[in-house]
Amino acid sequence: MAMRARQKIRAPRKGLASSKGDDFEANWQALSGSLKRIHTKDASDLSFEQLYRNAYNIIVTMRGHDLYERVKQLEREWLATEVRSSVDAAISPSLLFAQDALDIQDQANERRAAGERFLAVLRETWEDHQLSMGMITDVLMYMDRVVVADHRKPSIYVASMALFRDIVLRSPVRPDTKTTVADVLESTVLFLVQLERSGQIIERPLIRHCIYMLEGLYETITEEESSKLYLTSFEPAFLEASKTFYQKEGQRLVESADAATFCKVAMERITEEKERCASTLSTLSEPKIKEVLDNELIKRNIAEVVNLEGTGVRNMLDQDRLDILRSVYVLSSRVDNKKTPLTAVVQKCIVDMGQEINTLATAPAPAPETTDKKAVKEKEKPMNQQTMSAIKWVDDILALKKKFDAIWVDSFMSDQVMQSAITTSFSDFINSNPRSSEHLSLFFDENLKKGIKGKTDSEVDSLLDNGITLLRYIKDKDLFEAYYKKHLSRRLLMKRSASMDAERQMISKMKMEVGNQFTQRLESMFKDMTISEDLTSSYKDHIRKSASHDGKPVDLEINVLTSTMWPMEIMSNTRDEVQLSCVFPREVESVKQSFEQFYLSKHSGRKLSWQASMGTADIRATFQRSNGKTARHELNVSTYAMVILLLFNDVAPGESLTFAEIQSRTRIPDHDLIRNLQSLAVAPKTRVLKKDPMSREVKPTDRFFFNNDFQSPFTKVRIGVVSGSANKVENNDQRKETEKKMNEERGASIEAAVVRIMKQRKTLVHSKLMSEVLGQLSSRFVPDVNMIKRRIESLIDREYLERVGEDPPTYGYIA
Amino acid sequence: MDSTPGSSEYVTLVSGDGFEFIVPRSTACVSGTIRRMLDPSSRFSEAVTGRCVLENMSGLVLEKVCEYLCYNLKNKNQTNVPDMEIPPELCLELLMAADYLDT
Amino acid sequence: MADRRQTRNQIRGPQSALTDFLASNNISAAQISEDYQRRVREAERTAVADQATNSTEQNDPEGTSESPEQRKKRKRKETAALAKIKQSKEFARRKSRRTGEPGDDDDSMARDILSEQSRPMPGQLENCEICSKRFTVTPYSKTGPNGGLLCAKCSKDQANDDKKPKVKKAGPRIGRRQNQSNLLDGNAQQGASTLVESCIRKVADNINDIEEFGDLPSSLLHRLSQILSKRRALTPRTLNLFLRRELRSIDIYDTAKLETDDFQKIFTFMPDLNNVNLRFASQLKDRVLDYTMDRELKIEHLQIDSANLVSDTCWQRLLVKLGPDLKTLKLSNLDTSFNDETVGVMSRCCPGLRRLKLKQCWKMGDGSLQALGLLPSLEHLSLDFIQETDVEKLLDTIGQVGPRLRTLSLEGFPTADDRILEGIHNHCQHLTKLRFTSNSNCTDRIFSKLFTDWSNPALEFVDLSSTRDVDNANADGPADAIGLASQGFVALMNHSGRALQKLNISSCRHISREAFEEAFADDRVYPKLRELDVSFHTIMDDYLIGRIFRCCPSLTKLIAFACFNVQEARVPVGVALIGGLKAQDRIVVEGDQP
Repeated sequence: MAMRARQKIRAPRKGLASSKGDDFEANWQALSGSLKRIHTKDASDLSFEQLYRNAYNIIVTMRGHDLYERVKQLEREWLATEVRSSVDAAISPSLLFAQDALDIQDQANERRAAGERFLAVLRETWEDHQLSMGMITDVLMYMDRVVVADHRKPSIYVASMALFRDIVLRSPVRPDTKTTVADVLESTVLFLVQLERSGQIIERPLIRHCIYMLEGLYETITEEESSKLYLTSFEPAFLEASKTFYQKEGQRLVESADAATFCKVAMERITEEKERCASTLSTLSEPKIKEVLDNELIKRNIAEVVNLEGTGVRNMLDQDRLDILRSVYVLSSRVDNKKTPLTAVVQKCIVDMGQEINTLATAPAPAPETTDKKAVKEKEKPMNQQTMSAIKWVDDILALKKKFDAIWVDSFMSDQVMQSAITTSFSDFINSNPRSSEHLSLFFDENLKKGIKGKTDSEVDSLLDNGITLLRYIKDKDLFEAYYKKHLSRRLLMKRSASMDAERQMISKMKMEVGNQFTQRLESMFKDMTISEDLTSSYKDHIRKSASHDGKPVDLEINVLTSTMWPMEIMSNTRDEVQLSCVFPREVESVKQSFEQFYLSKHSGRKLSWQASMGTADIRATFQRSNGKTARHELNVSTYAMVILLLFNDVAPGESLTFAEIQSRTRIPDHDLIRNLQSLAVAPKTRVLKKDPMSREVKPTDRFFFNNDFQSPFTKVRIGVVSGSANKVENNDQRKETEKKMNEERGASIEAAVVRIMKQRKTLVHSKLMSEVLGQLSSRFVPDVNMIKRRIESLIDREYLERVGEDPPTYGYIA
Repeated sequence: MDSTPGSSEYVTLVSGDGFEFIVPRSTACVSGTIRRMLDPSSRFSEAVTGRCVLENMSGLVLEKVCEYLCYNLKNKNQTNVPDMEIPPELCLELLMAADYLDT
Repeated sequence: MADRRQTRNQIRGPQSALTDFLASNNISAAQISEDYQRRVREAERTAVADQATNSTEQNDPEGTSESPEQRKKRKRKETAALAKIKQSKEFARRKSRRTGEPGDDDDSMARDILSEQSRPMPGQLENCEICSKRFTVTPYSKTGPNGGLLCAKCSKDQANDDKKPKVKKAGPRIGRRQNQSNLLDGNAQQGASTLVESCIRKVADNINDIEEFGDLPSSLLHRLSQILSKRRALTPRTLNLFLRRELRSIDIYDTAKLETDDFQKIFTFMPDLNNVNLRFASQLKDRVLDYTMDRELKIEHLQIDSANLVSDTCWQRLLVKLGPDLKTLKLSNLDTSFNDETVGVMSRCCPGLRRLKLKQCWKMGDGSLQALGLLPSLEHLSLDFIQETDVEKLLDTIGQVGPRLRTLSLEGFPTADDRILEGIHNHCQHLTKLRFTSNSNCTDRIFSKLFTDWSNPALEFVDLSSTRDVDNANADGPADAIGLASQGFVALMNHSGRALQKLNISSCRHISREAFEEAFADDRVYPKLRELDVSFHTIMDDYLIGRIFRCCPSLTKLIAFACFNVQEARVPVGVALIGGLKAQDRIVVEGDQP
C-alpha cells in the first residue's frame, strides 16, 4: 500500500442529479407520473431502473422523508378519488337499506345481485391495490431501506395498506350516513352466508377473496396477528349473526322435526360450517363457529332431542337405528364429556328392558316354544318350566347385552363413559332380580349338561364367556357359588356332565373373572372325584386279591367326598334331625362294610357317612311273563330304588308289600321313599312295580307288587327319580332354605372379616370399620349394613370386641 | 428459479456508457435491486425485455459488479470467504453501485 | 532481547485503546510478551529431545534415505532443473492460471512440473508405487499418492477411492485470525460478505487517500464512521469527509482525536443537523455548545459521551434552548457535570423527550431520579447510576413513567429490591425491552412473579445478567434463590419466549439444569431468538447447547464464556458460538441438524 503512488481516490462522479433543490421536484414529477401509470396498469414501458434511480436520487439528497410523505399523499389522493368513486358506484341502495330481506324473494334476489356486483368490484379494487403497491414498493425499495430504517416508519406498503383501510373501507359511503364500505361489506357477506345456509348456491370464491382482504389488513401499523381486520370487525359480527341463526334453527327443529331430522341437520350444519370456513371465510374462524354451533344448536337442544317422545333415543334403541344413534352420540360428545342426557336415557332404557326380562322370567313361562321339539324327541324329560324360563332369562339378557354391545361399538364409538353407564345399568337390573344367581347357574348347568353337545370348542368357549359376562354383573357372587356348587355336585355325582373339559374350562374362566378363592372349593370337588376314581379301582384290586368273595361280587363304584367342600345339606334331606341310616340289603351291606374296612385301613381316623340318596345302581331284573317266557332287563336305578326292588326278591310272586312295610324294612326317609316309589310304580314307562290303588299319590296304605308284565323296548332301562335329581329352579321353601344358609354363611364371613380387621387395627371407628368390611367382602357379595351391625354386636357380646368410645363410636379388639 | 415462460436464462446488464454484460439470470439476481427489476410479476420493461440499463454506472464499475455477482454465487455455501479483490481507486464508486444495487 | 526492548521503547507506534488501558492498569505488554517467550523456550527445550529422533524423516520430502553427499548432489541438480523450468512457457502459462491461489510460490510449482517431467513415458517399465509390481506404463496410468505411477489394478482401486470422497474444491479461505475475529463479532454467516461491506472496508483501508465522499448516502457514511472509529482512524482530517452541508445527521463514534475546533467545525458546516451523536468527546467545551446555540440548530436527537469539559451551566443553557425540540437525549460518562439540578432543568424544559439514556454520570443522585418522573412523554428510559440511590425514589419514578415505557433499562441499582420488580409488574404494560442487571437483592420468587400473569405483552429484548447472590462462603446461594434462578427463568421463557430476540442471562448462576431442560424441552420453540448469552453457567454442557440450538431456529449468536462443559458442541451452520474451551475449530457444518 505504502509503495503505491499516492493517487487520490476521487469521489464517484455524481449521477444524473446534482444536489440542487429543484432536482427533487424534477425527480418527483417523473416518479409520480409513473406511479400513477402503475395504478392505471399502464406500466409495461416503464423502466424499473429509471424509477428506482429517481427515488434513489431524491433519497441521496436527503429528501427521503419528503419522498415518503409525497408518496403517501399520492396514494391517499388516488384512493380517495379514483378508487373510492368506483367502489361507491358499486354500492346500490338495496345494499344500504335492505335489512334481512331474505323472506321477500324479489328483494333478496335483487340484493344478492347487487351484493355480488359490489363484492366483485371491491375484490378487484383490492387486488389492484395490492398489485400496484407491490410494484411501487419494489421501485421504492431504496426508500424503504433508508428512510424506514432512519425514521422508524412502517414500510410504504404497510402505510398504503393502512390508507386503504381508512380511506376505502372506513369512511362513510355517503356524506349523509355513518355506514362505511366495511359495514356494507360485512352485511353483504353475512347476507350471502345467510342465503347459503338457506340452501342457495353462492359464489364462494368471490367472498373468499374479499375475506382475504380483511385478513391482509390490520388495525395497527405493527400488524400483529390479532389485529387483523377480519378478527377485529368481521368475525365478531359473523359469529353474532350465526348465534342468532342457530338459536332460531334449533328452536324450529326441536318444535317441528323429529330427533333423527335434528341430528341429520345438525351433522350437516357442522360439516357445512367447517367447509364454509375453509372455502368461503377464514380457517381462523373454524374453532369459533364450532363453538357457536355447539353452544347454540346442540347444547341448548340435545337433552330435548334425546328425550323426544316417539322419535328420541328410546325409539332409536328400540328400532336399532344405529346410524342415528351415532349422530346423537357425536353431537352429545361435542358439547358434554359426560353426555348426560344420552347416558340417562340409555340407562333408563336398559333398566326398563331388563325389568321386562325379569318379569318374564318370574311370571309363569308360556308353553315351550317349538325349538324345544328336539328335546322332546330325544325323550328327555321336558324341562321344568321354571328352569326353562330361568335359562330364557339368561338368554334374553345375553341378547340384550349383544344388542347394546353392538350399539356401543357402532354408535357410541366404544366410548368409555358410555360403556360404564351401560355396565351399571345391566348390573342394576340383573341384581334387581333376586334369583339372578340361581338362574345363571342353571344356565351353566343346562349348557354343561346338554347345550354344548355337538358344539365346537370355540362355540363352547363363547357360550361360556357369555355366561361369565353376566357373572361379572352379579353382585352376590357367594350366592352364585352356592348354586353353582350345588348344581355342579349333581352333575359330577350323577355323571351328567357332557364334557369334563368344558367343566374345567368353566372353572378356569371363573377363576380369571372372580378369583382364586372363589373357585377353590369347586376345584376340590373335582379333586375328590379323581381321588374317588383311584379309590374305586384300588378297591376293586383289593377285592380281586382277597378272593374271599362268594359268587357274584357287587361292583362298587364309590365317591368319597370331603364334606366341607360339597354341599352336603342338599344331598341329604335329613334337615338336621338325626335319622338312622338306610338299611341296605345283605349283599350290599357286606360290600359296604368291606369298603369301609378297606378305606379306614388306608385313612384311619376318618369317618365315612353314606349318602344313599345320591347313588345309583345297575341291577338285572328277571320278569316272568304270564306266557311262561322270561324277560330280562338291566335297570339303572337310584340306590334307594335298588334297596326297594331287592326287597321284592324275598317276596313271593303275587304278594305285595305296603308302603309302611317298605318303610320299616328300609328306613328310607319318607320323602325319598315316596319319590322313588313314584318313579318305580307311577311313571308310565318305568313301572317295574304295580301299585294298588293305581293313583299318582303314594299313601302309607298303598300296596306294591312286582310287575312281571313290565314292558320296555330296551334291554337297559334307566329309571330316574321323580324330580330331585335334575337341577331345577328351587321352590319357595327350598329358596328360603338356601337364603337362610346363605345368610349364615355370610354372617360367618362378616364376622371373620371384622375380626381380621380389628386384630390388625386394634381400635377402629365404626364408620371406618364398616367401610373396610364392605371393601373386603364386595368381591363376593354386597353385605347388608344391618347384618354387619348385628354381627358386630354379637362379637361384642361374645367379647371379641369392646366399645372403647362413643363419639364417634369406636371399637377395640380384645386379644 | 425464474423460469417462467418467456424469461430466458441470460439477461443483459448495460452500463451508462453503453457496455453490455450478458450474465446468467441467477447471477444477476444476487443483486436485490436487479432481482426485483427482473421479477416476472412486476411487468416493468426490464422484466419484459431481460435488459437492465444501469444509467448511473460506468462500464468499469459494472464489470467489477458482475465479477462480484459471480464471486458471491461461487462462494455461496462456503465459510470464511475473504473479500473480493477491489482496486482502491474504484472502491468509492463501487461502494455506491453496490448500495444502489442492494448487493 | 534486552536491546529489542530498548528499540521498542524508543519508537512508539500508534497506541491502541487497549494499550492505553493496560498501561493505566500497570499491565505491561512487554512483560506479557517476555513471559510468553520464556514459556515457549522452556517448552521447546523439553520438546527437542523427542523431536530429535524423527526430525530427519520429517525433513526429507522424498522419504528415501540418502547420504548427505548424495543429497547435496541431488539438490544441486534439482536447482538447475528448476531454474530451467521456471523459464519455460509451460511454467508461465501455469503461473498465470494459478494466481490468486494461496501458497503458489514459484518453487513449488516448478517442482511439480519437474516431477511430472521425470515420469517414465508410456511403453516404459516401472515399479508400481503401491504394490511394487513391475508393469508397463500406459498413457492412462494413474499417479499414486506420493507421485509415483500405479499398475492397472492399483490404478483402478485408486480411482474407486477417489470417487468416494468427492472433496469439494475449497475456495480461497481467510486466515484463522480473521475468522476468529468475525466469530467474536457474532458473524458466522456463509458465503461472501456483501459487496457493500467489502467496499466499505476497502474505503476504510484507504481512507487517507480519499478526497471526498461525494454523494455517498448517509447510511453508508454512518457505517464508515463506525468502522473508522473502531480502527481509531477518525482524525481531524477524516472528519472533514463527513461534513456535508445537506446532511441532517452526524454519528462519530470516536471523537477522541478531535480538537475543540473540530467540534465547532461540525456545527459550522452542517446547518441542518437534526441528529448529533458524538462519543469520546473529551475536547467538547462550553464554547462549542454555546456556538451551537447561537446557530439556532434544530437538534432533536442528541447523544454525547465523555464530554467532561462541559459545565453544568452550559448543559442547562443547552437544555433550555433545545428543550422544546429534543426527542432523544443520551449522555454517558460525565464525571464532573450534569448534576441533580441540571436533570431538574431537563425534566422541566424537555416535555417532548421520548428517549432518555443517562449512563455513568457521577453527579446524578436521588434528586435526578425524582426529576425523571416528571417527563411526560418518556417511552424509552435507560439508567446506569454511580451514586447509591433510594429504592423508594426509583419506585416512584417507575410508578410515574412506567405505564408509557417501551424500554426500561436499569443498571447500577445495587440496592434495588423486590419492590422494584413488583413496581415494574404493576406499572409497565408496554415494555418490549427490559434490562435489569447486577443485582443481588431481588429474589427468584419475585422474578417469577414479575413474569407471571403480567399484562405486558411478550418482551423482545431481555437482559437480566448478573442478578445472583454473591457470597463466596456459600457458592450455591441461599435456599430461597436470589436473582433470576430456575423459577424466574422458566416464567420468563413462558411469558416472553415467543417474541424474544435477544436474551442475556449470563452469570445468573442459580438457574438449574432442570430449568434449562424444561425451558428448552422438545416441544419448545423460540422462533425469533437471535442472540443468547449464557456465559458463566457452569451447568451448561454440550447437551444443553444442543437443546438450545434445537429450540431456537433463528439463533445466530450464542455466547458461552466460561461454560467449561461445552467442549464438543455441534454448531449449526450460520451460528456463532462464542467462548467455550476450544474456541477454534468450532464451526461444524451440519446439514442434517437433528
